[in-house]
Amino acid sequence: MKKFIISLLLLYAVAMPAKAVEITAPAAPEEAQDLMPVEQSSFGEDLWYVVKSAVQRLQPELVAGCGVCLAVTASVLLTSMLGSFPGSSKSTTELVGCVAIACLVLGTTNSLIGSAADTVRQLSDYGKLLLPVMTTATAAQGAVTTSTAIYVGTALFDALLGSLIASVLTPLIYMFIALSIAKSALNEPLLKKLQSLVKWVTTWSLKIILYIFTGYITITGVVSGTADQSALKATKLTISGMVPVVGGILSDASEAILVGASAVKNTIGVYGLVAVLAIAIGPFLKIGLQYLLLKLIGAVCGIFGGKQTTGLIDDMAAAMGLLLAMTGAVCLLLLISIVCFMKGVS
Amino acid sequence: MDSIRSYLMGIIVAAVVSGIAVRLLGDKGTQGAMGKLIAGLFLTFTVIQPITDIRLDDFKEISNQFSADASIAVWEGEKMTRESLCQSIKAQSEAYILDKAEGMGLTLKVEVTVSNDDLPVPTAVTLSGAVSPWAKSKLSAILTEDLGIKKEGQTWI
Repeated sequence: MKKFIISLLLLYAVAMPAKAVEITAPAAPEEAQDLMPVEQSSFGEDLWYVVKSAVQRLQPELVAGCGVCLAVTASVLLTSMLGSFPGSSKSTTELVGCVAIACLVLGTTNSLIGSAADTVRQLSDYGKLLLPVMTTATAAQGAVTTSTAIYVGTALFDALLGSLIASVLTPLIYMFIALSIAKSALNEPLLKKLQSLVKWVTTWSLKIILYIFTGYITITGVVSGTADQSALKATKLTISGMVPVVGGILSDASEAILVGASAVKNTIGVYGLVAVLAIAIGPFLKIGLQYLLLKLIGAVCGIFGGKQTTGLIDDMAAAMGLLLAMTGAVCLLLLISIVCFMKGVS
Repeated sequence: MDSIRSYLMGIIVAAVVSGIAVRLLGDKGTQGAMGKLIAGLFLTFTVIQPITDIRLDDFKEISNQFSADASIAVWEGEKMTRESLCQSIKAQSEAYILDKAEGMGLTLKVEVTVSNDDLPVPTAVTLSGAVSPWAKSKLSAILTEDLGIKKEGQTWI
C-alpha cells in the first residue's frame, strides 16, 4: 500500500510541473512562419520542412539569376570578340565589359544586400523576444547563474554585431563592390590592395566577434554550470533534511519539477531554433544561389573572357560570400546561444 | 541609406583628394614617399571612421540594461519554479496525511500550508472532521515526526 501511495505521489509530481510552468516561445515573424510547420514535431522533421519550403520558393530567384548569368556570359563573350578584332584597344573593351557586367549584376546585388540587412534586423528582433523567454525557462530549471550569463553575453554580442553590421560592414560591402568595379575597369593595383583590405576587415571583424562570443559562452557555461549544479544539490539536500520522514519524497518532487521545466525549456528551444533558421534560410539560400551562379559563370567565362572581366565576376561572387558570412554570423550567434540555453544544467 | 551614401561619398572625396595630392607631390624622392604615406593614412582613417562612432560608454549602459533584463527574466523563472514546488509539496503532504488518516479509519479534510521561502516546506495544517482523542494524538505525532509540522501549527476543526 505504502509503495502504491508513493508511486501515486511521484506520478503526480511528474505530471504537476507541466501544468504549473507555462512559458511559450514567441511567434516567429510572419514571413518565417510561412516556412515553418503548422505543428511542432521532432527537430529533424521541422528542419527538413523548413529547408524544403525554402527551396521550393527559390524558383523565381533561380530563373532571374540564370537570366543575369546568361546576360553576363553574353557580354563577356561579346567583349572578348570585340577585343580580338585587329586594331581594337584591349583596355577599352575590358572597361566596357566591366561596366556592362556591373550594370547587369548591381541590381540583384543591391536587393540582396538590402535583404541581408533586413534578415539581420529580423534575427536581432526575434532574439530580443526569444532570449528573455529562454532565460526564464532556464532559470525555472534551476540554472540561474548560467541563464543570466548566457542572456547578458548573447544580448551584448548581438547588439555589438548588429551595430557593426549596420554602421560598418554593410557600407564596407558597398565599398568592396565599388572598389572591385573600379579595380577591374582601370586595372589599378592600389585599388586591388584597398579592396583586399576591405575584405580582410569585414571577414576578420566577424570572425573575431564569433571567436570571443564562443570563448565567453564556453567559459561561463563551465563555471556557472558548476555553480548551478552545486546550488541544486544543496537545495535538494536541504529539503530532504528539513522534512523528517517524507523529505526524500519531497526532494524527488522538486527534481521532477525541474525535469518538467527542462522539458518546457527544450520545447521552446527547438521552436526557437526552427524559427531562427526559418528567418535566415530564405535570404541565405538566395544569396547562396547568387554566389554559386557567379562562381560558375566566373569559371565558364575564365575560358574565353578577359582577365579583368572574369576578375570582376569573381569579386562579385566574393561580395556575395561576405554577405553570406554577415547573415550567417548573426544566425550562428543566436543558434549557439539557444543550444547553450537548452543545455542548461545537466 | 543616407548614412551609407554619405560614407561612400566621403571615401570617394578622400580618394580623389589623396590621388591629386600624390600626383602633385610626384612618385619619387622623400617628398613623394611622405605624400603617399599621408594619403594612405588619410584614406585608411576615412574607411575605418565609422568605428570611431561606436561609443564604449553606450555599451556599458546597454550591458547594465541587459543585466537588469536578465534579473527580471530569472526572477520570473524562479517564481514559477517556487510556485510549482509549493503546489507539489502541498499536494503530496496532504495526500500523505490523508493516507495515514485513512489507515486509522478516519475521514478528514486536510489543508496544508507551505512556507513561502526559497525552500518550501509544510509549516501548518488544518484538519477538519470527526476524530477521537487517541487518533488525534497519534496523527498529531505523525505530523510532527514525519512532516515536521509542530503542534502549534496543527489546527483541528
